[in-house]
Amino acid sequence: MGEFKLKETDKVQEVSPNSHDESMDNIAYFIGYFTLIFFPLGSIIGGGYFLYDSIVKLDNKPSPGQLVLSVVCIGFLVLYLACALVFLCDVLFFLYKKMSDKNKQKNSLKLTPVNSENSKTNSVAKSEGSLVEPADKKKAEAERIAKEIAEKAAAEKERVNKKIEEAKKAFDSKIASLNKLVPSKIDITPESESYDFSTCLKESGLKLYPKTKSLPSYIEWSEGSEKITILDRRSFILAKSFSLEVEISDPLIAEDSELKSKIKPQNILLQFVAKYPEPVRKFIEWAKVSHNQVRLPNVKQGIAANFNLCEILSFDSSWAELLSIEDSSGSLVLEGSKNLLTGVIKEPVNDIKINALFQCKDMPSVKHSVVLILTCTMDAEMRWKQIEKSDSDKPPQLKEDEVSELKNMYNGLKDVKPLFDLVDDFGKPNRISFRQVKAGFDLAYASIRGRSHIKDGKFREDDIKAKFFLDNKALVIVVSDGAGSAALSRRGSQIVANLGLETLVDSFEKLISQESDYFIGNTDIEALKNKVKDIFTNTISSIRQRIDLESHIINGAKPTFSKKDMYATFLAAVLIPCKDGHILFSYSVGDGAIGVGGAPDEVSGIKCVPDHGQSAGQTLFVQTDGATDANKRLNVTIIPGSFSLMLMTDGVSDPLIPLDVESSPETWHSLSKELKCCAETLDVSDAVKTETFEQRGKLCEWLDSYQPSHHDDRTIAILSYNPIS
Amino acid sequence: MSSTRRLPIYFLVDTSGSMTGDPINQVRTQLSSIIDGLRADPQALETAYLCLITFGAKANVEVPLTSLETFNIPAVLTASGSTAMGEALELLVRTRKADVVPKTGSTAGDWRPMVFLLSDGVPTDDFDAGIREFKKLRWGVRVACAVNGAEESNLRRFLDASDAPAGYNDESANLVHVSTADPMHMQSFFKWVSASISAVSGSANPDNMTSDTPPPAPGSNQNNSSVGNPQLPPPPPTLT
Repeated sequence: MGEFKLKETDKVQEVSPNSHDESMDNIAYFIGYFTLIFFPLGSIIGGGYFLYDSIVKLDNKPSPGQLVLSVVCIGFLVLYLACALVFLCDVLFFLYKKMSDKNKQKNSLKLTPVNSENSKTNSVAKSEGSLVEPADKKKAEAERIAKEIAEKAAAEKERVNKKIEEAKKAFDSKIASLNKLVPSKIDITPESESYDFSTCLKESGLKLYPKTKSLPSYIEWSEGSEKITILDRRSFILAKSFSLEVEISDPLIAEDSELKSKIKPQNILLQFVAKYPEPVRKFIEWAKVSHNQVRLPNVKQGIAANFNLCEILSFDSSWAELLSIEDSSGSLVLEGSKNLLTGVIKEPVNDIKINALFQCKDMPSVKHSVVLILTCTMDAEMRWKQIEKSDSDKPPQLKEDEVSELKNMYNGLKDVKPLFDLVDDFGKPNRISFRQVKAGFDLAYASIRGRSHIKDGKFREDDIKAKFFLDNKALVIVVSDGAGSAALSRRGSQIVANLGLETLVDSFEKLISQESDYFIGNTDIEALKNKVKDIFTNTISSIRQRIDLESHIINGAKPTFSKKDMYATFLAAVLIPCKDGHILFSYSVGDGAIGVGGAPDEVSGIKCVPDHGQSAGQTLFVQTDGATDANKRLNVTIIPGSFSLMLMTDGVSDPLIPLDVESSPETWHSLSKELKCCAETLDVSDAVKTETFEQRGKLCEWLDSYQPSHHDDRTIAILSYNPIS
Repeated sequence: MSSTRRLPIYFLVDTSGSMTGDPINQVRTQLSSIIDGLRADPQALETAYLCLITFGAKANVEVPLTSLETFNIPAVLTASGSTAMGEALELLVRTRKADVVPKTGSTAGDWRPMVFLLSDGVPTDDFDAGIREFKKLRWGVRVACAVNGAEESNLRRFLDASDAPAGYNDESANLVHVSTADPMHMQSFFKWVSASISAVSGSANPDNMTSDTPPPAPGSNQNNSSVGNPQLPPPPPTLT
């Protein structure tokens, strides 16, 4: 009981000096509880209403009542906060008081031994002395234990600190020695394209991890290893260098729980630099820029190709070497210098792929391959000659329905005499030649099917007829070119040549018999001209009539057929002896040319209206307007002595006679010489000879001459006159 | 010997943004197969000269006038931007003036150029200015190709034959529609283009090539002189 009492007094004694008025406390508690309970209630209700009114219903302007309420609420809130503060202070104060009580108790325990020694004599005298002693003992014991614990803790702390310090030192020195072994800039060379840290780390036992999260894609650092390897040399060389942050840690520290948290691993920044020889760098930079596919300039079949790959692929042989060429066509080879690609491709091919493998001169393991694409185009001349050789003598290609259609057309016409060599497909021989020699005259002509028609399996559309009359002293030559797109222009030209010739011969025979004076005595050309104009106009009219008739008949078998399908040109030359030599009437409708050479310059040259069909609407045919414009189209020339007369379709004149020299006598002189040489080799016969490509005569061979983009039918006539001495 | 008369062929290809991807790739592939096909024709090989002009935000001569023998379509055609069709026509005119040998008294010069215009859109620039320049010159065969249902009115203005006799109207014959979504369709169009080029280059007189037999001009004689000229093959029915 005494113990308890003492404790009670102890407590009272201890509390009382610090405790102020008890009733003050009660008031404070009351205010605290009151404010805690009621003020928030008020402010929550008031504030809530205010908030609802002014915030939720934003569009409403607050009324004065609301404003007052708001002010009151805010006032309440301020009051509440103030009271809460007072209450909080009070609570804190109370806690502080309790804490200081505990400290006092502790202090009294500690102080006891000192006090006991000082008041040992006093304590005996005192009545409470027997009661104090066991408390002091307890205190001392506790004190001793506490001291022991404190000492132990201090020693332990010292030990740990020392350990940490030592470990830190060791770690620092390890890192210092590692720094000496590993430079901050590490050169990567072709000899060693990896870097192994393990030898540097062996002695120190340190560990190294990449700290950088995303390593460059061209390096490899597999987990757990201490080796960095360049996976993609190209990218690395192109990047030139890369930096890497590594974490260096000591396993001794990492595994020690005391040190682990105290000594952090060190981060160091390493730079890896690509130290490759210049040629390697150049090669790789070139490989990056050069495309994987490169198109070579097209070559022509049969023509030696020669590619300087150094130039084409812009590489330098000082750092790159062309190792091999893999050519799918098998036609191209590498020349000795290894950078020249040469060869002859025989057949046209599109997009031949050639693999070219390059290696770097200083580093053979560095390679680069380029696919070269090459197109070999056809040699048009070669192709034309192939076509000519293989198909020249082949009959035109007709579809079955075409054959029967033509047969129907033919059946309609076969009773309308004269037929002018009409056959059931309206065709004519692919190539013909003719030579006749009469008193002083040497006439030769030839007509061939153009290469474009051979290629497409079409008919020859040109035609030619010539006839001597007046005891072989006079002559008519008619040449006609059927329009390319007209379906039956071959028949048109046939009618023009045959009917034109007959009509002209008849008309001129009549004219000569009526007006013999003109040809024997002094001639008045102008007076004669009008009669000749009429002859030509009438000739064209009769040709038109015939074409109209035939197209009308054919129209019965083929309703879409019209006279346009028989469009043809008309070139005619009539030569009649006269007092001064010969008089030449030449008349032209459409392109082609008539000319005289080998005569005096004043009478040599072109003898027709140049009509090259260059501007739209000028291409003339017998059927078209202007064909009968004799004033424009008739040409009259008196030629003394010997001469050569030439008639040709545009298949000959277009490639042969440049426009700027077509009127020049020289053009016609040299042409006549050339043609005479060919004509003289032909056999003389009264019949037209059908030739084959293999056995063609010189004139046909001359007509076959190759001119790029001129592949029309060709017809030429040459008449040479040499007076018989 | 007279020099060979060239047949200039201009391809004007729309490379605006809407052509990106499959459409432009298809056009490239088909153009490339036209070239391959034409090379098998010795006549085209001797006569045809090709030029590729593209127009997106700007008009650009992708490949200048080059002989068929040496011509190659660029490996990649990129499409982006607006549709500078007017600028393309002006560029075409400038290019033609620089390249094509005109006819003079003493030389025949080149044939009148063929022009193929492919577009899937509406011009975004001064199309009138381009058309004005274009109409100052005489052209050979003109073909407009409306890609993927493109609007026709501008293409029709390109075709409108103001240089032809009055009443002559070849608009419809030269306007074709293709859909890049249908490879067979594209193929048939380009086959026709190829056949047309072959027909023109093989013709005795490419200047007078017509796409269709035109009706005679009113008041003129029935024997209209341009009748009977070679014709283009008719375009496949699916295209018109």
